[in-house]
Amino acid sequence: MKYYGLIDSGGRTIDPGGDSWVNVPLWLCHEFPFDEGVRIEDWDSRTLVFVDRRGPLRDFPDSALGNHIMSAKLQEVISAVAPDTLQFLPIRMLSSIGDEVATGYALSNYLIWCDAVDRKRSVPGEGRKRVVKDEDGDYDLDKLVLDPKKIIAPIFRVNGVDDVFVYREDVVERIQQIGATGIAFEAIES
Amino acid sequence: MPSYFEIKKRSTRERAFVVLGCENQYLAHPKGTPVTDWDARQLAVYGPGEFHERDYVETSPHSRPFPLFSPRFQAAIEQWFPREVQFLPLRLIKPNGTGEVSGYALGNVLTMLDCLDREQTHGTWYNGRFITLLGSLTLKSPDFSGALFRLKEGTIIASAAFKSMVEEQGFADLDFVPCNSE
Repeated sequence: MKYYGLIDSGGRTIDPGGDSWVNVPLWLCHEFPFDEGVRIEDWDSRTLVFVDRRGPLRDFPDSALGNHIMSAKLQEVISAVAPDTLQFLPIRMLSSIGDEVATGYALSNYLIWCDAVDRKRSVPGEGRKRVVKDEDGDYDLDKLVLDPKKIIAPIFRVNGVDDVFVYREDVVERIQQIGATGIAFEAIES
Repeated sequence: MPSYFEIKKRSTRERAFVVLGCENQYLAHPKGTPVTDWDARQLAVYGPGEFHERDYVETSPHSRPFPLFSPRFQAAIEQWFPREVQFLPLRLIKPNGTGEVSGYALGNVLTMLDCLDREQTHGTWYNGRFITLLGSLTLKSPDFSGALFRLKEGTIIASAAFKSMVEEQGFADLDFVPCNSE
């Protein structure tokens, strides 16, 4: 089985500058345990985000790094193929004057983390001899290789590599089959 | 005695943010001219928690400073320095849409000058603005007799007269960093 990393906004090359941008207040994400792999219980479903309408609003619209906003269509397919891997927190997509731009979108909370780094085959960052976590618990890698034996879910985040969001091949195929827009993946060796 | 000062929000440990929803392209590329198509229904979200009443509030996400002014501060500026700042009213709300605070307005400084001495002003630049400023701004003697102007690079600069007014009227939420001038 192959695995893919979801290409976050920072690495996006789809219609650069042409998509709508969703502005999620930064502190909002810090108020909730988005990086802990736990369900968020006290989310207010009235929570609003602003959509800066620079262009088409995609199923996976551009936003700041780590803010994975998904349309109802994307949520539906992920819930079917990879249940209980993401929690979808409803948001209201508003224009700057308060008009509702779209419905059904949600902010994603990744529920599964795996310590899936293959320490033998991954390549350490420059100046490092071995693949080991630093004092903050993070890996410094030039190349990430996943150890399939350590993978426990079809969608997960990787302990020590916070900016990687891994999707199993069958999930990626289903997402591509429904023609979801704005979402892209790159293969990760495993 | 410096004649010009960079305006900054007074540094506090308080975690208080205001995020603009504005799509107005003017905010991304201010020109020092009046905004003619402003919609007073514009929203901004504040948090975390309750709104902290301040006379001067910095906002995001635009790269160039667009501060919010309290009703009291707006009135003082209009009284002492009329026609120097255009106030663009907006509605402040919590992320869940409740707790509306009214009366605050973005300040659009109506003079823009290209008078920053880039050779004498040290810092890290990106797309014509500062990421990190090391030391003070150095200005090439601006030909200016008003109270406030915006540098082409985005920073808002105040005259000594504006600083005096702020201090005399007791507006405490902003600091004045002296600029060097040639």
